[in-house]
Amino acid sequence: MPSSTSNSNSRIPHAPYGKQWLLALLLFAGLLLPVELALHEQGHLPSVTDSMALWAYQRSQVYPHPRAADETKQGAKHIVLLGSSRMQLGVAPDVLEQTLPGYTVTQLGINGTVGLAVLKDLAEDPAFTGLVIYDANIVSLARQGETSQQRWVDYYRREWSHWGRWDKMANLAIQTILQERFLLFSSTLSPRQLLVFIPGAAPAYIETRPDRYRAAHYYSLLTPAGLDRLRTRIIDLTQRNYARTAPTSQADFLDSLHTLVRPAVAKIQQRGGNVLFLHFPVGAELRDLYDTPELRRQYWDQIAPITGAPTLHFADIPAMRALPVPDASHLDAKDARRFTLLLADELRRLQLVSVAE
Amino acid sequence: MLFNSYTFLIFLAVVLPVSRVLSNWTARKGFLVAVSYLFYAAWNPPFVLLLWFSTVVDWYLARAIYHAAHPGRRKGLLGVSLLINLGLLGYFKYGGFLLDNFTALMHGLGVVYQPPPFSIILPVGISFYTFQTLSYTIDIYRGKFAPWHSFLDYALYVSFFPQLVAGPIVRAHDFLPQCVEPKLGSARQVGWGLSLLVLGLFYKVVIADRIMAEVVEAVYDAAALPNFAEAWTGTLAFAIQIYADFAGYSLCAIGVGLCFGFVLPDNFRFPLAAVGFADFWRRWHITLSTWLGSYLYIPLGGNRKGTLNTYRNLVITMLLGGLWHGASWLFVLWGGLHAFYLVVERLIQGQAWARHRLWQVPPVQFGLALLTFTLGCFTRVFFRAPHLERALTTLKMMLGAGWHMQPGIEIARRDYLMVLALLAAFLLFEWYMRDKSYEWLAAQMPWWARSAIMAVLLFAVVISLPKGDHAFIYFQF
Repeated sequence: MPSSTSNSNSRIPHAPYGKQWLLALLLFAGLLLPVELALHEQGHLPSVTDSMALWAYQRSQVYPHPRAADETKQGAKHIVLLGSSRMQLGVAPDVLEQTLPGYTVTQLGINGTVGLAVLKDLAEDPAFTGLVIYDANIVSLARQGETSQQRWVDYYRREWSHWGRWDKMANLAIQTILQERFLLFSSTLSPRQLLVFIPGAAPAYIETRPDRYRAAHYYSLLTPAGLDRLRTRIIDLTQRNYARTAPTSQADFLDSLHTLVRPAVAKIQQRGGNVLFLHFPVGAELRDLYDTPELRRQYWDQIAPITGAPTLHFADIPAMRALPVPDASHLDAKDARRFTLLLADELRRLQLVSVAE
Repeated sequence: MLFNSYTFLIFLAVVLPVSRVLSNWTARKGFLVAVSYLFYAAWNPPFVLLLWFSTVVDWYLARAIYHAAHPGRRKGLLGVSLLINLGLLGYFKYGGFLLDNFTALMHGLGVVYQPPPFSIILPVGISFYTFQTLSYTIDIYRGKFAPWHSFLDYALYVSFFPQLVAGPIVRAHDFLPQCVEPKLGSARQVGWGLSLLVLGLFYKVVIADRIMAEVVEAVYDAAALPNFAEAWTGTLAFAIQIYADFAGYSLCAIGVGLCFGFVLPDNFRFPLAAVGFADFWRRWHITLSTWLGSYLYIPLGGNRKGTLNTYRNLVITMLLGGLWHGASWLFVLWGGLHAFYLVVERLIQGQAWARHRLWQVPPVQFGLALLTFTLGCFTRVFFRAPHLERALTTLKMMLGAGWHMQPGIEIARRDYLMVLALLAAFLLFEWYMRDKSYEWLAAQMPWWARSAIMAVLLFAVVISLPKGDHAFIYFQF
């Protein structure tokens, strides 16, 4: 039976390989350039891959750096953002860093998950002494989501805890540089889009930055009809997730606060750090799930007394409450910037940060 | 370091020219050993010590076996080699599995037993290089091969980076003789080797990771249960994914090896066109199946000791072959189902009606290939499912239980079409290529057409390359 590949030198086909590869590379470049230009023309934005490696790299940055290249970051205090897509789309680390000099902000939110596993991981990390801002609501503190981010924690512990991480970091650095500069490498483009649907490939409305902040351009990159469709999908998805992951009762929720959340908060506070539970804005369509007076009394108002950590609810801050939520669940990039500035004000007011005026 | 990573491209771009600059053959081999260890260390540096240990131990044991005059001593030394190699494999790969099963057994017997925490990292490639060093020692024990004169050559045989972490599993008698004459990849070898590398990356990055993986993960990793169509779509997609992933890796390995002037054994021969499961195992992961044949099935007696013993030997070989893939009962079930198919196939082949000329007619043969592929899909469910319950549920859905269920998984209509279209393309291509080779195919084309194909494949790879963390599936074995 003949082999499918070259297990014998004599079978290697004869060809002018120099000429063959030269022409191949020319054709390759001839394919890349026009497609790159066409993507620019269509308004696509560069976007990096929100991979586990990128998350693990950010996770490894939550400690003070005595020899950081940027002098303002030497010995900087850390703010770590935990939660789901609301956190990733809602708080811009660069804006928060500019507003709070002396602080380094790390985005560890993960799309479609809740932050309990990472909160526990940080609590059990004796070197972590920073401030955690936790994307909190009735679902994200329930036991049902205890392990939803465990895969990322395990990956970090397994792959990022030894010298082997240097290969991954080098790969990540090259990938990020390429993705920031060339649209063809952008994480939002799929080969299917490029190979089959190039003429009509609509730009993705979300771009992921290297600091893992995800800027959503609902108004500038989606048509009104497209936004309507997206809102319907997000509401449907949120309702289904809610049905699967919400606590079964108030007692179930309180038990989770007592047994999962409070010990983690206590460990972080004992080391001089702190945790802020932050409720993000939600659209009117989802208020019944997250933000009725009854839910607030039974669930939200229990968090601070049980965990001993401060809370911040968007509805208590008029400027936050006034922000539109275009897809019923997330903020537009422009409003995320405003929300971040308002959050910085609240951090100062709650005396969770100390910034020299 | 993964073939589908930027760091590997840089590694290759540095190592290939440097190795060509070194005019001294011994220096070049030493350089290849050093960079192979660097390649391995990129994953987890301390484990290069394990690779080194395995290399040194078998080097000395093989020599001792060869020089031992007394058969009992030879047998004892072989036993030491087996104990060390299989012991390493057992500890790192099966330690947790054995402990879990022992704990379950104790609980079943009513004994309260809480094992100590057992968290061991599985050294990448250990299943592959352990089998290579074992084959060297066993071949010397059997008198089929004499101890090699150069430790450097032997170290290169064990560690040569293209095949180090996921095969092909190379035999000493295939590789070591290549170390005698100075090797420098010829223009033909480099040109063709790079073509295989690009083709392999296309299989892995575009087909396996970017097109099939999303559908497979949607079906197998979702909380919701798939219905009939979803279960089949996910499983068919996995059939293509695992093939493109592993065959892609093998093509890359063979191509890169060729760039350095080394010829590695073939690992796949268009297995989706296999007619029957015996044929399938002559075409799928060939270096493993021949290894198991040489060192397990034949020593057990092969097919020389009567029908029942043949079946027993087949079953033992396939069950252990399944377990080789991973410390899980799912892999054992996968191997068991393959053994069942092989036994049934032998039973059928023993019937007079099975030897009718009708079965050799090409359309019937094609139909039998489709049947083999379809039956193979049931085994792949065990290979992919995260746990037994999910595997059994998926099988139930595929067998009709999910016929009337509403869709539970979010798979877009175009993804269904993509899977089916690619599957049809793969099956037809593999059938057409069944008795041919990529070299034959390339030789049919003018050089500029090959350039155009390479350009398109490279383009597809580049736009697919940077989207996620997709290690090769066989790295975990």
